[in-house]
Amino acid sequence: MNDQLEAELRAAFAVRAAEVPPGAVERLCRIDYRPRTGRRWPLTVSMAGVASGTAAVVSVVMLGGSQAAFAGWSPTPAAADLQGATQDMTQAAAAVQADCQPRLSSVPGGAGQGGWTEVGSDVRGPYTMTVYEKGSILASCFTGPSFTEVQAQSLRSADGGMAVSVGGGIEASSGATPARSTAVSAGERLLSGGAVDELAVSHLWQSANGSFTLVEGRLAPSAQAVTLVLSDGQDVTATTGDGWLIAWWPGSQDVTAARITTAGGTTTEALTGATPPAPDTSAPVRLPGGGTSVPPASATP
Amino acid sequence: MAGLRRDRRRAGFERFVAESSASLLRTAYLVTGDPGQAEDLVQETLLSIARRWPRVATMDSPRAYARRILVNLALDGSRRRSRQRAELERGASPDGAPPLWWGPDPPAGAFGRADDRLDLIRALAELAPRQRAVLVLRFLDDLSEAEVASTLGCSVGTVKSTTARALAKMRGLVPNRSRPEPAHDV
Repeated sequence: MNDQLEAELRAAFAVRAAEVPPGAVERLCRIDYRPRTGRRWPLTVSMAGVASGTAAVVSVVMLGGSQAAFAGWSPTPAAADLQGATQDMTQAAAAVQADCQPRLSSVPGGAGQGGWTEVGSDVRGPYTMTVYEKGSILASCFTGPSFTEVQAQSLRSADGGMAVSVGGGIEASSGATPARSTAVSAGERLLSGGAVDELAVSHLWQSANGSFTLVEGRLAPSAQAVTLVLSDGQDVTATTGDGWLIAWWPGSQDVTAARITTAGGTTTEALTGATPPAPDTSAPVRLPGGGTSVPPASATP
Repeated sequence: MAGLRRDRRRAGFERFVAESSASLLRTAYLVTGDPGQAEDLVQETLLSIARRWPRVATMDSPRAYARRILVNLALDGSRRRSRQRAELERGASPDGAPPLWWGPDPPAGAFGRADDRLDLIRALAELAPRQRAVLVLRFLDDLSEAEVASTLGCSVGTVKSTTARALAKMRGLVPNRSRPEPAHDV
């Protein structure tokens, strides 16, 4: 009887823990925790007034951070069509593949490197995001010049419902192989529109570049191109093809809508939280990095 | 040389913050039930770790040490708040009263068995803070009884008895959970 209650507690706790506000981890990581020594105070005060001095220091840090983050990123991918990859892009994807594939075996349910199918790669400047599929599991590998690859995964139950990774999958990348930069998950959602379906949105944060968002999802075959509209009004062109769309952007903005281009013209569809159809009675999956894979706490935006 | 050592220490601490914040935040959220309070708690924990990082960095598990600080801060804070409430309400609120706000409720039917899970979370809020901490460490952080004992600075026997009492109280608060699953016709 206790075993049943314990299993239910594990599931309830994991779901509840997944509700931690997405920006909280990012805020915690941004704080300067270094202890202040007695000597620094007089220096700060003498350089400027207390209030203006503090404001200046804060603004310099913030501006410096945002300018350096993901330099070279573009809202338009190198090739918006998965079939249109250039030789450079193919080489970049191959580099990602070599770096990421050994790690796919640590994705829950992805044991063994075999069986993973490459869905496609999205290349923006010096950054490449490659998505792999194995059964109902999706894994994203992401690389750039100043950080080690980030590994994330999205899990969807076989019956069309979904569950998404929470934190641990990212932390797992610092397990067996020491990571040069470790990303942490700041929240995940699954969205749907009409032509866009099961769009997994992962908000992440890494020390090298700050926050960023990865998206991957299914796309109706009739769609020829997709532009994602972010919550700050910015447009991001997705890489599409073979019934998939892939994109990412610096920052933690959500995606609110998708402009779909088909042979008949362009339409805009709102993206909203999908409602999983089937109850998930399984216990949460413990991830290698200590996180937990669970059904999302709230599927509504 | 000293500057290089300082840079390495700083990088090590930043990596620790990046790797541990999410996990500590989840624990804090379940123990306190309040996202804002949880964030403050993790921040306070990391500030405390930063002050003694050169020593913490050499430990077998800096994260376990951080978790110990976090849980103790949470229990201290809970005792403090309870005293303040008691002063205000003249003993109307005994130690272990649930927090005033237990976070947002998930939307009904947002996922399977949402109501059952919500009942369990509500019942968790009714437990004494120490019982709540034991259950969170055991069933969210997946710590062994010995690890929980080390985190809370008590014996394994105390962890076992606290867990048993907490589970018994949960069964009383959510009675339908204590019934065995009905047999399915085949």
